[in-house]
Amino acid sequence: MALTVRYGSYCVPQEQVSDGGKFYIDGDAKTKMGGNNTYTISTSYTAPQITTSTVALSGSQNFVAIKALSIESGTVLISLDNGDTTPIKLLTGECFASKIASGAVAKIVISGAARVEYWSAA
Amino acid sequence: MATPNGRRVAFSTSVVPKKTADTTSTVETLEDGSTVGVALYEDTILDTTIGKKFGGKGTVTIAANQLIQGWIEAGEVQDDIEGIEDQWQTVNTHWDEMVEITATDHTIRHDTEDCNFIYVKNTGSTEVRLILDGTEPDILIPAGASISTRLNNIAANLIKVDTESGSSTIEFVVAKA
Repeated sequence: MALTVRYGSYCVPQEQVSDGGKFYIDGDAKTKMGGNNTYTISTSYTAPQITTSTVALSGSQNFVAIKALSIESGTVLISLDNGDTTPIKLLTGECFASKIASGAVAKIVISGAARVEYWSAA
Repeated sequence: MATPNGRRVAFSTSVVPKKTADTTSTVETLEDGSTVGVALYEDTILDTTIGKKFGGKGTVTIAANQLIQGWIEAGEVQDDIEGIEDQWQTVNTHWDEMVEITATDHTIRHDTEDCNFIYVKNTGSTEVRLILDGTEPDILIPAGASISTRLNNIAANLIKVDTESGSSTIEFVVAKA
């Protein structure tokens, strides 16, 4: 039995010509953008968990998926170096999913009241 | 061209955990030699441990004036450089071609503005590593994959890409907050 994860990320840069007007695809982009890939889980993975406080994921994970379910106050940040830096920010409904380096340690840093769902795989 | 009134990026991420396995054949042979039943085949279903598709979407407001043309590379030839002559001369960047990424760290956006959104797609065949803190290549982007996420106001000069070895190409958006 093979376990795989099909994941993708997409974005549409948009620009607004006049105040209160419609947004159109940004003229600098000219197109919607996106890509996807299939990650093969080699050994183990976790079922989704929900946290309301800061938590570090296992350092042996090579794929992480993290979603901010709700944020009533404060911030939800993601570190990939066990908390030394927090370059990624999530708002409610946003998700971060990526393959990460073997030395990376994902940490969800919650300040305030928030619910975050996550799972990871090796 | 004039600076637009506003800019934003709509983005999304989807994750589908799948389990693939061979089914059990139910084929039987009748007295006359003909067969009935369903032959073995490979079936793919949603993984039962994770149990659901995972994903999210958001919209990030970015600066209307991104200051430089090199904040975005969508694989489209960008002929219009009106108003950015100074940057053209001072920044040896990639105006009309895909960026080649090698094992040497490559700063994507050539200024120091705080950025609140990044999108990077690996359009080559070698895995690309994304650095968000200036030093550690923590995010891996295999061929064909992409990443899009809101950033916690990261200075552009800390955002870099490289490969472990070999070369690849990317398309990207690195947006000033």
